[in-house]
Amino acid sequence: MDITRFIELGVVSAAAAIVGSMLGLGGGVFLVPIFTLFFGIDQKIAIGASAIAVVTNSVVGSSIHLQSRFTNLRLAMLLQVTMATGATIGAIVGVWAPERALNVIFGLVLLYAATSMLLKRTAATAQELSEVDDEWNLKASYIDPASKREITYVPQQVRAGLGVSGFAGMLSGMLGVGGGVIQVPAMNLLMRIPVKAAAGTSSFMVGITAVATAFVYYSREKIDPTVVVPAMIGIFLGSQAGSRLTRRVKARNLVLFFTIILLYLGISLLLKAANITLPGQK
Amino acid sequence: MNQQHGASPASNEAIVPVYRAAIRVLTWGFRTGAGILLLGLVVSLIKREALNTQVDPFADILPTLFDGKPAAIIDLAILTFMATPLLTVVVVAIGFMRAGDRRYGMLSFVVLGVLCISVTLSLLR
Repeated sequence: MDITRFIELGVVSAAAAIVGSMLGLGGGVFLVPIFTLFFGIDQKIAIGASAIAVVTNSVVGSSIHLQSRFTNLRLAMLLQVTMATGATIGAIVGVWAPERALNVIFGLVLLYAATSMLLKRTAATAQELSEVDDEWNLKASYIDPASKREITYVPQQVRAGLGVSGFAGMLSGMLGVGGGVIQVPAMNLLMRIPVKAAAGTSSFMVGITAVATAFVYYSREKIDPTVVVPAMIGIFLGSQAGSRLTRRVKARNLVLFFTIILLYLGISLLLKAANITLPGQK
Repeated sequence: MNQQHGASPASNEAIVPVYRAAIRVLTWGFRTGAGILLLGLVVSLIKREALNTQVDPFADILPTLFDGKPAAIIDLAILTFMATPLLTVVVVAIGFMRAGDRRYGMLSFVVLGVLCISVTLSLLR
């Protein structure tokens, strides 16, 4: 085992998880571009490693969200039907897709993530529950730790949410990311779910989605323990540190900086698809 | 509040045990996976054996485990992490059924079916 490379991959994964948790994206979106651009790791191996790191992160994070009831289990299972299906299809497509096509798709996803970070999102406002029809029996509530108030909500536009979840699953399967980058804003803005509940439910869902991806990559011999193990350890430690740091550091001050990193990685992948490599990249 | 147009009768209180069961599976899945991973890394360092650059097929893991190969222990740890969300879906599906929430019990089984397709693809390797 090359200890130096092991440590480097672990440190980079930890840094990705810290930044990811500060931005609320998870570490997956950073892992694949960094592994491929700076370590020269085969893209499919990087996607497989990222998928397993996402599973590990979800297994740890979900139990905390479940305890605080941020996770809506009924909603998670409903949306998971299309998300897991999308992920399985996406993973099969991703395993066979040419690297150049995946670089373009990943580059565009990173540019989308960066843009959505820059544009100030208008948080969905709670609707009067008396006006809302709960056709799917998805009404749920949790105690908001900040205000100590009970927040009750009923997810809206469930059919549209199922469609978005399928799309998020496809991207997740193809690129090895969790899919939260699409799922959380969609849940909040489209389905009018409070951000904490959206993040908690998404955190639970992405682990299941990434399992669908991971097994497909496993079957195609794209899981490399020398990459997966440091990524798992790094993502786990980084997300623990990230969640603590987020409470202490004013993350908003760092958002612009990290958004520039997202833009840089996105553009780098698009350029790589055009066979242009920036200095310092492989 | 207009709700439950023919939807499952189970209230949110009725599915509290489902949450508890999911937390238990996730917590123990992580502890088990992390323990096995740590063991694999320690054995790898003691035996000075490098990690494989590819996981073994499922059928080969057990025999190599009995040979005390650290790579097989690491493979088992990766599989434990991968199996944890699967097991959670099983527990959630059963929990919904027990709570009388047939709709979400069935949906959870559908999710499990989709995941089983991925697993089957792996087994066919």
